[in-house]
Amino acid sequence: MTAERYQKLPGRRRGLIRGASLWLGSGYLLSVKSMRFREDYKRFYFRDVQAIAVARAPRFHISTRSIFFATLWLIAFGISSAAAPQFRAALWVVAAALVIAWIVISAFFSCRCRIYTAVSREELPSIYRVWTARKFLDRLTPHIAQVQGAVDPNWAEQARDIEPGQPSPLAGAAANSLHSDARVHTVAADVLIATLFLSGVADLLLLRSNAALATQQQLVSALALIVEAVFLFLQYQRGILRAPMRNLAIATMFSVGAMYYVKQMMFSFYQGIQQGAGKSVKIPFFLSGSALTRGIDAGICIILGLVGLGIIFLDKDRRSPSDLNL
Amino acid sequence: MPLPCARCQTPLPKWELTSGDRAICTNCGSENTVRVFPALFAAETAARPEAAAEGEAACFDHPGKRAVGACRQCGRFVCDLCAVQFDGETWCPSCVAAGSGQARAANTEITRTLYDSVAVTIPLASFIFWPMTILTGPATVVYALMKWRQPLSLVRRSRWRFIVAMLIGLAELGGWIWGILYYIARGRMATP
Repeated sequence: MTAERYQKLPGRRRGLIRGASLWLGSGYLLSVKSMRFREDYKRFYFRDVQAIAVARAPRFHISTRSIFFATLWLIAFGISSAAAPQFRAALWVVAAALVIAWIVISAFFSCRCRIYTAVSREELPSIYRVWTARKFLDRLTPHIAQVQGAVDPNWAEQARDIEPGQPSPLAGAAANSLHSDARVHTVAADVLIATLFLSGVADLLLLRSNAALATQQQLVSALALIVEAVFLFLQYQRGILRAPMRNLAIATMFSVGAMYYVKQMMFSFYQGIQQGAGKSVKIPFFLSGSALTRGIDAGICIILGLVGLGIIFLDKDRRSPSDLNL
Repeated sequence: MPLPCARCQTPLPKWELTSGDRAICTNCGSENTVRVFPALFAAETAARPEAAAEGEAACFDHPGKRAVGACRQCGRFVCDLCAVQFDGETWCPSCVAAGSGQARAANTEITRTLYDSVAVTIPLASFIFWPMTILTGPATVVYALMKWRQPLSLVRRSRWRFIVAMLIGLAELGGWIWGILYYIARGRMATP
C-alpha cells in the first residue's frame, strides 16, 4: 500500500504542547491534533460533511510564534543596556504595539470553526482567525461540492423549523455539560484581576526601589495570586466558573513560577559578576529582583489583567439558552 | 436538521439562514458563516436494516436483519447496519476492528507516536540538568538509529528531526570526551 500524500490546508495552531492542522486527503479532510510526542488523526469524508460553520469569537491563543517574538524582544531589551535611551524607548513602543495588535486581533478578528456530520460536531482548532477561515472554506468547499453536488439554493426552507433559544437534540450534550450554568466571572475572578493590576502598578511604582517594601510587595503579590488562582481552579472544578477564567488562573500561576526562576537566574548572573568584582550581594535582590525583572513582572501582570477584562467584557456567549425568552 | 452556532451550539434561526450564508446567533450574537452541503438533508432518510423474511440470508451479528452483502475477508453476511463500505468493497466490523489481512486497508490509523520529536527533545531537555547529557547524548544517537525506520507522522515526511537529534547527541558526547581529555591533560601538566 503506497503512503498517501496530503495537501496542507490553510491554518495551523502551534502551542507549546498542543498543535493542530488540517490536510486534504483523497476524498476526506484529515484533522491532525498533536500533543508534542503524539498525533491524533480524524478523517471527515467529503460525502459525510453536512455543514461547516464559522462564528466570530474572541480567541486569546499564545502561539509559539508569539513566544518567539517575545523572546526576541527580551533578548533585544537585554542587550540594549549599553544602547541609547531612545532605542530602549523604541523597544517599549514596539512591545506595546505588538501587545495591542495581539489583543485587537484576538478579540475582533478571531473565530471558531466547526464541521458537522450526522454523528459529530467537531471543532477545528487550527482555524481561529477569520482570514484563515475564509481561505479554508474557499479551498475545501469545491472538493465537498464535487463529491456531494450542489445544494439547493433554498436549502433553509427544507431545514426543520427552529424555535428560537431552544437547543437542538445535538446541542443538548453541550447544554447539559457540567459547565453549562457556570459563569464567565465570579467575585474571586474579579479579585484576581484586581490583584494582577495592583501588583503590576506596585511593581512599576517600586521599579528602582531596593527597600524591604519592594521585597514584601513581591512576596505578598505572588502569594495572593497563587491563592486566588487555586481558588479559581476549585470554582472551575465545582462547575461555578467557565474555562476562560480558569485558563487565566493557569497563566497567572505559570507567570509567577516562571518569574521566580527568571529572578533566580538573574541573581546568579548578578552574584557572579559582583563576586568577580569582589563585592557581596544582598539577599533582597534575590527576592524582589532587579528593575528589569520587576518591569517584566509588571508588564505580565497588566497584560494578564487586561486579558481578564477582555474575558469578562467580550465573552458574552455563555448565557444559558433558557435565559433567552423570545 | 437545525444548524447549531459554531460558538455556543444554540441552533441558528431559520429566518437568519434564509437570507444567505451568514446568520446571527440569537443566543451569543455571533455572526456565523455557514456552508451547507446536500448530506445535511440526506441524513434524515438514511437506510435502516430491514427484517429478514423466512428463508432469506440474514446478518451474522443480527439474525433478524436481512443481509445486504458478505465480508470480503471472512465471508460473513452483513446487514445494512454492519456493512462497512470502503474502497468499493464490503467488510464486516470484526475484520475492520481486527485490522488484519486485507481489512487493514479499511482500518485507518487514528494515532501515531512521533519518535523523531522524542529523539530531538531528549538531548535538549537534558540541558535543564546538564550532567545528564553524559547519558542522554549517546542515548539519543542510539534511539534515533533504532527508530529511524519507524513510521513518522502521516503528514510529515522528512526525517530531519532524527538528524538534528543525532547531531546534538554527538555534540554532547563530543563535549564530554573533550572535557574529560582536557582535564586529564591538565592534570598531567600540573604534576611535576
